[in-house]
Amino acid sequence: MSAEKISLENAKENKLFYFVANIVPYRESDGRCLILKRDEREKVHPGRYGVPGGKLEWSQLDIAKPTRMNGDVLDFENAVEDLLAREAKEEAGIDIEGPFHYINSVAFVRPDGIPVILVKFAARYKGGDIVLEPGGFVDHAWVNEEEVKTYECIDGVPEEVRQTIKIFRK
Amino acid sequence: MENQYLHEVAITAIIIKDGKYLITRRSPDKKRFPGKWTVPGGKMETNDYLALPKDTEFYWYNVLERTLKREVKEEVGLEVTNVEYLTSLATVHDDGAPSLVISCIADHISGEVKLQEGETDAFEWVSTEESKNYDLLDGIYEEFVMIDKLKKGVREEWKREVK
Repeated sequence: MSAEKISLENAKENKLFYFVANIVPYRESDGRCLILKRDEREKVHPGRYGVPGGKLEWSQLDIAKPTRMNGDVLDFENAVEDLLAREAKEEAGIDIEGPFHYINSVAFVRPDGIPVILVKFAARYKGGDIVLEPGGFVDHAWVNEEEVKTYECIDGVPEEVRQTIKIFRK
Repeated sequence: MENQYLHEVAITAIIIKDGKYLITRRSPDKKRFPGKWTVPGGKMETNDYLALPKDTEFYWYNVLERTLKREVKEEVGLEVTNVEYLTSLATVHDDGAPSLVISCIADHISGEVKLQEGETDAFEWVSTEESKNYDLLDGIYEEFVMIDKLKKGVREEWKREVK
């Protein structure tokens, strides 16, 4: 029998995480990457530059409409890819296109004690004018690996911009 | 109300040796997918990193690579390198647990396959073509096709293939 609802009843506490994915959008025309300035009122990293991204949430998994069945298991393919495309659209108004390139992954523990797995990817900017999510971001910039250093970024972002440019310049 | 952002996170490895992929058969007494052919992998645990020193002020780096290498060593006794992301899959198990599966590829460095008791009971190194003869978990065949294309320089997202 397939699940009728999503539930944590049978999951072990030390195996539950927030899964967050970030995307560094790369613009082919000038070899620059998009960074976004977070609102000063944000609790985490206020006023600093980061990249689009977000948490995987259950609402993404409509158990009435799995994209595939594996026995009794409901599958949703390309979950991270879909999450990143949606966040890039919601947070910056842009379309990105696959394939997605893995940059790195980190684990951390939030101040409220919840463990997070954060995986960072790079993908090409496909099109769309920048429209920043109200309340989330207040400014943006397209930067290369040198220019990013002049912005006050979240830790790791300059390095990810450098790696993204390296991946696509090949 | 349960926290709607919590998920299990699993990592799987398609291990490549001489152009072939390692598949293993799940033990008949496994709760999920008994007797099905699959690839090595397992769920992340906070113990995978909590006891280790942080790499920067807040972060433990390379958690994917680290967990994957541990799982592969435990389950099939191999050492692997060049861990690379392939694709992702969200699942809802029959017990309701929401999971995210991250599928990676990795090159075999050394070691002979030694299966962990109670997890799997058989293994084979197969080509994409040969894998059709095994009762694989759905989706894995398509991942082999993706890797075959990657080797020819074509990177695509997961998509359904007709066997």
